[in-house]
Amino acid sequence: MSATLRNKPTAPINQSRRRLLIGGLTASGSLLVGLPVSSLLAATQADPGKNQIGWFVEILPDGKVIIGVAQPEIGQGVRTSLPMLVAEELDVAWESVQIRQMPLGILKTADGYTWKYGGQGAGGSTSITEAWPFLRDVGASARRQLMQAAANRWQVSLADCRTEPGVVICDAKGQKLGYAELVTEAAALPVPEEPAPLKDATAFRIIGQPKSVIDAHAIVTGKARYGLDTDVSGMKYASIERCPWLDGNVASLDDSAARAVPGVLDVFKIEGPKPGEPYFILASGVAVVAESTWAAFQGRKALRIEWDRGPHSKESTESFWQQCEALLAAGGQVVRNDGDLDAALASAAKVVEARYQQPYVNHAPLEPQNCFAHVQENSARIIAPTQMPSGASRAVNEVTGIDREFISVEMTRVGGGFGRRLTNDYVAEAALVSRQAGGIPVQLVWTREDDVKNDFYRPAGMHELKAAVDAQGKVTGWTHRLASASKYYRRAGVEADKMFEAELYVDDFPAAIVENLRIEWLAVQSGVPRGSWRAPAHTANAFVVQSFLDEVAHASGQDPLALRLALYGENRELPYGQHGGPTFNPWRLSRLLQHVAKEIDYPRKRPAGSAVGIASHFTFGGYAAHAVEVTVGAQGELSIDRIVAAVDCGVVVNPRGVEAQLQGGTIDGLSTALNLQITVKDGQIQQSNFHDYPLLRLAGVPRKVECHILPYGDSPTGMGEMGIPTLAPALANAIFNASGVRIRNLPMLDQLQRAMA
Amino acid sequence: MARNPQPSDDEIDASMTHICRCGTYVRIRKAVHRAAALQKGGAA
Repeated sequence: MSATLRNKPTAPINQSRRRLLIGGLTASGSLLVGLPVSSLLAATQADPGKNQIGWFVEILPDGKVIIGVAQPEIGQGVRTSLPMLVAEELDVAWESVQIRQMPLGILKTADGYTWKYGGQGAGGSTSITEAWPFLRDVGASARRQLMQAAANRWQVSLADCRTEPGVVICDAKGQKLGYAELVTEAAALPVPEEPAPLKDATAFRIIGQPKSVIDAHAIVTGKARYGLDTDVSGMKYASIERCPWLDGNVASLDDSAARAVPGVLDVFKIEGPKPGEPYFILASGVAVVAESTWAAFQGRKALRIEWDRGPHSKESTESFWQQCEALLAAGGQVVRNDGDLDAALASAAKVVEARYQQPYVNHAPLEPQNCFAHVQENSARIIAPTQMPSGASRAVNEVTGIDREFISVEMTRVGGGFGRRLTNDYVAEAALVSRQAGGIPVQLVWTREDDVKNDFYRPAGMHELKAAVDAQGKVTGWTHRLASASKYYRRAGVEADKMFEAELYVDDFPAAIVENLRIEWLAVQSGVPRGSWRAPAHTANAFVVQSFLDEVAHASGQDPLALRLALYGENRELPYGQHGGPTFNPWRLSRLLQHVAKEIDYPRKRPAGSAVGIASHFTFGGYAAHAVEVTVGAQGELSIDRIVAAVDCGVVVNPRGVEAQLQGGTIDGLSTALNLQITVKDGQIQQSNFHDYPLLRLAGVPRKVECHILPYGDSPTGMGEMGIPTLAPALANAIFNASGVRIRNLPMLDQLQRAMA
Repeated sequence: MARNPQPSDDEIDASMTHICRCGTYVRIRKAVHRAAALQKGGAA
């Protein structure tokens, strides 16, 4: 997703906003309309208290520092890494830091709403990138306030003061004061217009140091609060029996048996969007409200519903691929056209061509969708695991009409996001249920089956690639034609000719490197809902491009690593207009490839049946590469002997966190490539749980998975999505090198065994 | 580990059958070995 959708402040930060965000309660009157601040509040206090400097920093009398985290934690580690930025510039010991999750903060303005705490959301691997200037400024400004308070007390100038962690010192006067003794005065001082100076990287004590997850102990002892842990006194529970046919509906309902189930309180229809309309929720169905989730689930089982099967009842995975083939037989929407591809193909010494297939996949977060909602006549309280709390507030406003000013959104930990929780459909459902049931506090719970069968799945598509190679082995022409079901399907405000933007990033490699290049998109019609799935479009495109590069190398007698290094070329910035730009430096991919190649001893000839495969890709501003070593047995038994992964995400804030994301992305890529797909038959999703959507378990993970971080430059990029796209192609390339079998359709399943039988 | 204080990698694979969606399996293996070492009284 695009970072620009989040309306975040960009450096340099508007001065009035700085004063608001750092200096305390009062905002300049020209920015804001008066409002009941308390109405926006959930668990924490309405205004910064006397121990707080602005919204983000509280210093307790015993010297402990509470740092506010405004972003949702979806397992990407921001509850640790973002406070590191504040703590560094504030100059406090990391061991003295505790964190507090902040709720959604929005403020009514003359013409809409604006952020109270800065932008909030987890998507597109942007949290660290956007926080890097902002939160460092927050910490540095708070530190300056503390220094000024001390300077005032000692009657010296600011320049005569310095800090050591947690302490302001004036050497000339031989004085020192702990932050706890200064905080009340510091918070009351006016905030200067010019930004506080930031530390030089050479002075970092915290940034760049490996830190464990700050609430690890709470997590492993069951104290961490996820959405499902929400427990509001008096709350009821609800679950929805959704139509199993895509865009189907309730034709008739007999709820007498359901109402008779002990604990069931209410049963009513939930009306979903009409076919083709934007998805405010995913499906129509019947809600059961009960005293417990068990009673709600039993109530659902007792419903007698006749379903209208909707307009997609003939759709199947087979029909989807047939549609792709028919589309690819004709011309599509040309979205990039450089040079003269046809001439390059006509004059080529060799033309290489291949087709690849990517299936739909499910997000499969370990915590199924859920949301607490208490909708009253003119206000609503939401407690949700969400990646977009502002979207949650908007979703509730859309389905209830309640003014956003009176909708509070508290964020719990999110048990896996992966892009699923960018869409707040389950929040809208909970609000609808709360209202319909009489304005009650209620927790809506999805079962695992609900979660597998109702999703904004990763788009499926068929890719056709063709390359022209000259007599010297240079790639002179390249075309990528993709027939896919765009994730912008039924998204309000997206024109038909822009639907391709979700599927193909026109500045992706090898654009601007291969002179004659054409990119084409064809729209596949499908009733399956689609949305953003970790590294949207990149998992599909990295698989096909990096697999095809190897096919081109082999067809023209070149080494795959040498071909890549030749194409990536010199250290320079190429334009990159899509998310993760504004530039892309392919040399940073070469650097990573050479590193993993060295680590895995790429040139060493392995015994027959064993080989190494490589891949590299630029994802949303970060660079990654994988080298995979496999052994393929005579019957096609696959053993993944070793994985070497490397990432360049710029400056590293928390190396332990970066490593965790790189390992996690590697495993996610492996799990998905080997075994995972969502299939459709007769207009219904076929999978339902982890027996037929088999996520990888520990036994399937290679014993040797090595992660390397290669820092670069002076600012960080994100890390949530960078580690996943290159695993699958590196694996497919290794399998080919070891066995001669080229796998082009994912998931791999037993294709290798069948090919070698 | 009460029954098998020094598990091998194969034994860990066979008994740790839960799902970890964040893909931290490599570190889970490492943690089991570390727990075994701590239990034995050695260095972590």
